[in-house]
Amino acid sequence: MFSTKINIKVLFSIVIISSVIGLIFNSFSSERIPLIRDKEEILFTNITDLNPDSTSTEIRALDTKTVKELFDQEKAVFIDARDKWEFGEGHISGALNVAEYKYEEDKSKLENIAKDRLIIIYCGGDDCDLSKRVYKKMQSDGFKNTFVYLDGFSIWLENNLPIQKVEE
Amino acid sequence: MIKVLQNKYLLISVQFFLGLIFIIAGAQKIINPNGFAESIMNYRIFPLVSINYIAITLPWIELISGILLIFGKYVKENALIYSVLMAAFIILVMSAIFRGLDFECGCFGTNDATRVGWMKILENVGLLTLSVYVYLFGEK
Repeated sequence: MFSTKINIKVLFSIVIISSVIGLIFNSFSSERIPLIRDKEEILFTNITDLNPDSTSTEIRALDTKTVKELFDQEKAVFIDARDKWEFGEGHISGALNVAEYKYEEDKSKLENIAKDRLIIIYCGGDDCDLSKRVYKKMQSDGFKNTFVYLDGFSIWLENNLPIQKVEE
Repeated sequence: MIKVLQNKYLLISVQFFLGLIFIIAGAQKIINPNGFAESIMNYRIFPLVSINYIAITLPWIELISGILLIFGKYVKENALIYSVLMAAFIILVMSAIFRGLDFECGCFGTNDATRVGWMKILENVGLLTLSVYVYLFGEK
């Protein structure tokens, strides 16, 4: 028959030894991360503060009102960080789809965009992190005038602002 | 039925399969700890202070448990670790679905574009079933 007997000491040893190896490996790894994560600072920016050479480490965010103004003035490039299916179902009119999970593949779409161009990145809503991740990736690729539209597509849609769908 | 389940070759095959999955899952996360930490954050359950600690240690528990399973060392103990982790992953993914969260699960590091969803739960239930089987019938 079967048995459920285990050696509890062995079980804890495996967990503890593995954790210690992980901690040691992390302290020597080139991909090292700090033991305690820093809180991500989100900095809301006004339309007058749009500074193309910002080197701030915070995530710069824009609210719906500001994003709408920039949209109307056709001043910004919109980047949709969600996957192609969600993008296809509806996105901010004129947005480019640079999906977070295949950023390396999709970033070819950014080739013709000047590095100092005003770029607004968004995803589904304020509970998704895709836009923040694409923001960081684009920042390290040299795009310095980037912002996250934190309210995202759900609030854009709620406000009946212009959207587009991808026709099959 | 019990005789089939006690079959040595069946047990070894399942152990090997489970071990391989854990090694791949662990290694993918070890390569990109920051990406994995962000995946953990997406679940919005763990306090910020614990996120990086989990991202540093959990992949190594998976990796070492997987290696020990493949080599047939401490099979029951490792199968129990596997089962507990799988049960935890199922609860995490379910809680994400019920809270309407939509993101990549991070189950195999950041290269895994599978989103949290019922398919992921089904996969994990399959792995949980196999690991409980190895826990019950595996060698001491």
